[in-house]
Amino acid sequence: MEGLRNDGRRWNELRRIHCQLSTSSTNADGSSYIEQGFTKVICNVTGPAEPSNRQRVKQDSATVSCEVYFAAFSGTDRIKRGRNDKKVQELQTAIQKTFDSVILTHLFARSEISISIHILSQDGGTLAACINAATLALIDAGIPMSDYVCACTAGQSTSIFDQEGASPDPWLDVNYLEESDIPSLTVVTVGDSEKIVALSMENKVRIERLEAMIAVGISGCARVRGIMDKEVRRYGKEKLEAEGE
Amino acid sequence: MPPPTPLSPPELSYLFTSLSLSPPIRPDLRAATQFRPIIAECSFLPHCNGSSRICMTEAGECIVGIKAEVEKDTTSKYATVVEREKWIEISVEVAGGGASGPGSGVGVGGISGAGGAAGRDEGDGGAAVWLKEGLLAGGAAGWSILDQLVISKGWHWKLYIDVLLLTPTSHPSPLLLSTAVNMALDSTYMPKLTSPHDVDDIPTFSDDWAISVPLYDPSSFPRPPMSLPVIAIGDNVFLDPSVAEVAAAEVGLVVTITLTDSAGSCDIVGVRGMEVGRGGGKEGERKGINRKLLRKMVTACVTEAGEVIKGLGEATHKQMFRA
Repeated sequence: MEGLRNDGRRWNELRRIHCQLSTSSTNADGSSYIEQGFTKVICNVTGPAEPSNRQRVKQDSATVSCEVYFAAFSGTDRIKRGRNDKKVQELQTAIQKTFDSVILTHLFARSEISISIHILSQDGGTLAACINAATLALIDAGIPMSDYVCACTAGQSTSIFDQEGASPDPWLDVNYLEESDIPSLTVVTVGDSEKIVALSMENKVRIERLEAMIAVGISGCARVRGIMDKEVRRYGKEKLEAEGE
Repeated sequence: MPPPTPLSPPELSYLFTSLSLSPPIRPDLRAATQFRPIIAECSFLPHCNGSSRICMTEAGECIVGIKAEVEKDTTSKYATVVEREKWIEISVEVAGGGASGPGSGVGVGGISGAGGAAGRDEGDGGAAVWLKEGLLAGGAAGWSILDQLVISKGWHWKLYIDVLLLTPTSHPSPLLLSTAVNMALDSTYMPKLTSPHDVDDIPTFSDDWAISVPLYDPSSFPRPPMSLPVIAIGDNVFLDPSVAEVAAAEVGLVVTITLTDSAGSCDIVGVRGMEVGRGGGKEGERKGINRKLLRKMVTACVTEAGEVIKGLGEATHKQMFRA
């Protein structure tokens, strides 16, 4: 059984992803901008640089730090989130831990790589967009990673077919409406290797559905990787051509 | 404290001398009243009534989002002015990016007389205060932005203007902030009221954005205000000064103006002092400013900047969805 979702997508379709590298004119070493549907995120990366505070120095590897800012105007209602907001802290930790494991930190001992993310507009899949944006900004900054870190969300529709025994398809890349309505999870993989580096889920779902959701999420990640890779290559080519002239 | 510069005293002295020549030579060879190029986008945030993104080479990047909420009018009979001013709320947030930490207490553009009121840890140096001031003053002949916010009897819009400065370490110029706010205001549209004006029931609005109402009607005047930094060295007046030029300047002003007709003439709605460097002299040896020079500086803004504001307005309208 196949139907259309409220924004006209099929179950396995991503929203439009638009990404850009080196967007910022500021002194950041790398920057990126990503739009996934109406979710819009800016990311700046500084480093590897000398750590801003002594406690962050690690003798054998680089420290990855992450700051997430929700713009007050990013949601439907105006909400100001402070630095100590629970959701902000959770996002920061998730992103920091993910990248700490993927960046080749042993190459930059006693230095700090700081990722700062600004969420300008939220429409579901905030964590996924943040991670994708951070990946692009890190690539722009030239920081070595084992592969692209790609994130995507998947949700499990709880439709009427459930009771009749037919299993409904999980939905790929949920938007805000779907996210608030059905259980969903965020899968983060390294490249298209199907290796999951982070998985986050905040709702209840039946255990037999989980497998399918993760599988759909992983396939979404592979597609996100393709889109990001295309943009990175396009940007790299453009940059090289500009330098060649 | 004047904005910090990486220039040494001999470099400052050299810069001071070249800027006091006649004609002056600016480090980037601009004419005295020439502005630097900017990148400006607007109306790109779907959850906002108006939004803008401005990039400047030196001052960096700034994003503004404007949200409007319907609020019940609680204005009492007597304290009208003060209470009405609360209809607009401006907040400036400086991103404390990585190594530098949140704003080190240096005010935005070092504008004097507006310091510290808006909270220490935001480090915006009271930018919200002077931005709002310009906005409320922005209109000649009794015109006020607040009148535009009235929906119907007993109801009004509450305007939240959130400024996001993405440049933690460089020196944010007042021009950056005010340009961004100007463009965001110019692209702000409110849903059209469908309930009658004179009833004090909860107002209802049309959900069709194609017939939404602009906050500042593009065909009418005044336009949203804009604050321009201007400095003087000797008798030379410079618009859009760079950080180094501010450090070498003798006097600095921030002039807030608003466009009053399609030919590009402007009204002054506010003038503030701006902190500058030591202007060739020794530390603490401030020469002050004479009336003639003050007049020259303000006149330079009014005569030269009209075209720039007009251009910005045209760029905004070109980018808007109804183009």
